[in-house]
Amino acid sequence: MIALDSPHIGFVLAAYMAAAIVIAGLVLRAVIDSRMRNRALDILAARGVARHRVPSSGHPEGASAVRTISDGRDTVGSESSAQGAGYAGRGEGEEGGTARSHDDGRSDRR
Amino acid sequence: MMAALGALLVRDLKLAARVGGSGLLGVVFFLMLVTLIPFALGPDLNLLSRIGPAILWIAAVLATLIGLDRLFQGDEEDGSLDLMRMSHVPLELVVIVKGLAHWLTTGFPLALLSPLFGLLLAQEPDAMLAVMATLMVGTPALTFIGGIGAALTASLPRGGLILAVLVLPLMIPTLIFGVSAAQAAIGGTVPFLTPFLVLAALSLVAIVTGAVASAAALRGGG
Amino acid sequence: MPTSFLWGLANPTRFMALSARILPWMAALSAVVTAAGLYLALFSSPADYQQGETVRIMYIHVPAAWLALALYAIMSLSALGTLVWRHPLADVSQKAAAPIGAAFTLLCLVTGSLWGKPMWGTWWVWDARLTSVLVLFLIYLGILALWRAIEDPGQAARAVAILTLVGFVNIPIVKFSVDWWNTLHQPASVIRMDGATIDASMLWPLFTMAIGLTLLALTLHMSGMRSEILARRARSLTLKAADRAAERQRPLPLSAGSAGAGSA
Repeated sequence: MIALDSPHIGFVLAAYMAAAIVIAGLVLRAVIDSRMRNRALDILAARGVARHRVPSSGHPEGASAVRTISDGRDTVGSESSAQGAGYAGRGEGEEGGTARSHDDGRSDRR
Repeated sequence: MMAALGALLVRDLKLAARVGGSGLLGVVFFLMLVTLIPFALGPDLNLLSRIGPAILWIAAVLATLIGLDRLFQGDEEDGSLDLMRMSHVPLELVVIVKGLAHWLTTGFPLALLSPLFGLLLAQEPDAMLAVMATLMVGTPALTFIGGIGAALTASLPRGGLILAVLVLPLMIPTLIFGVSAAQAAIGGTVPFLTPFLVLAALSLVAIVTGAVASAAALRGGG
Repeated sequence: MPTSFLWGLANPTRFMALSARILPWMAALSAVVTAAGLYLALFSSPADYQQGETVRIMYIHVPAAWLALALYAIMSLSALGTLVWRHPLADVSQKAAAPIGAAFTLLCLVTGSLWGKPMWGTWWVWDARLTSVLVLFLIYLGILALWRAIEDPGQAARAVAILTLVGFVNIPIVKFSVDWWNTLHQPASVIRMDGATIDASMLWPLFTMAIGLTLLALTLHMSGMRSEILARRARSLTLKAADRAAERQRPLPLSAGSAGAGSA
């Protein structure tokens, strides 16, 4: 049992306070960070989905060409991990989004 | 291949000597630091002669840092770095030659002139020789460790400050053994040769790791 | 090439699915173990006969020091993953580990200082171990600075990986030279911890706290990796959207090639 009347108790408590602050900071940062990321993706998804739904009057051919070109580059280039991660978990976010995200991945490749 | 490397060395030395090059600016900066420190500490000659080797070494570390951010940046900007990447000469050797050129314009003259600056700090002749020897052996380590930072920040517009933050912690061992060897020559329990040989080993390790790491960084376009 | 592409594609996907399932359990487990460790450390363990209550600082200080090194080891492994194996998760793992490691290194320094004041009579001693940890902290700061300095995530990951590995080679050299430097300038009277053997009554809280905080660090690392993957996803989607917008403004025949080239 910790003796609260010990001469150096202030230092012990300060050390535990410091630990609490550092750990709380790390946890808070993790939580806020993932919240913000998810929100940013939701906003992007909302825009992206809207664009998918409305069949753009333009040129689907051109779009798919862009996709394949950029894919071809990415396997070689530096962005591959970022892009891989980018395509990867689309629509994941919630539990059970795995199957859907796999489908997304495949349709992306096509 | 040797011809190409020789040409590169001559080119870098010429660039340093011409208008716009850093030339012997490192030495001037070194002199400024050595002048500055007694103003902060007071003109106590006993104190200065005791900490003189430390002052000279700190000044050497900082003076080495000064020109380092331009080590690869200029070549990155005008595209000659791309030529070096594509040439048949291994990039590691290119890095060593560029480091050598940097050392010849910074570390070497600095070590050569250090006895002169030692006079300002009331150094005994023994101590001056010792500092000169340690700087001669130790500054290559500073240049090549710093070269890693220069390669990592070559493409950054404002690489100077971050370069210092990256490489200064890695220079601590060199500083420790450099100053220790210089102090050991003046007196103390340790023979001069022990830290001096460790310092030489650190320099050799720094040349190898510096060349490999800088070349890797330059290849990655970082 | 298709397999490597699938590999890059599938791994983060599977990681996201798997980590989403594991993460709550890990968080709960680390909270429970850390709480148990805190109970052991503060309530059910005795005070040291020499150090008194200050020994309880060790139950944080030692795990923090261990985590400072462990997270650097994780970063170095991930750096190898980035440079050698080009594993797509390695960049992300590297980036997520850095701030956590820096935070625990800072905690180690702060608690060490708080222990030193009552024991040594001063906030800071240029003791070999403290000094080495300080240098480690500086290296962490350099790594964090380099992450912030380079915008492109792939390029930043490679640069940081090189710096991390150079630091990994340097840390033993720093430790060696600081030890050497320390014996040269022998400090006058410093109470050393080395001699004392640790009693079992103190080993248990230490052990439990170490496991609890390690689990916590791993949870934070995993959560950080998830955030980073999401961030990169958002980044690539934004870039793609920008590409698409740029392409719409151009005449048709040019669109494919120029947009593709511009996507870098």
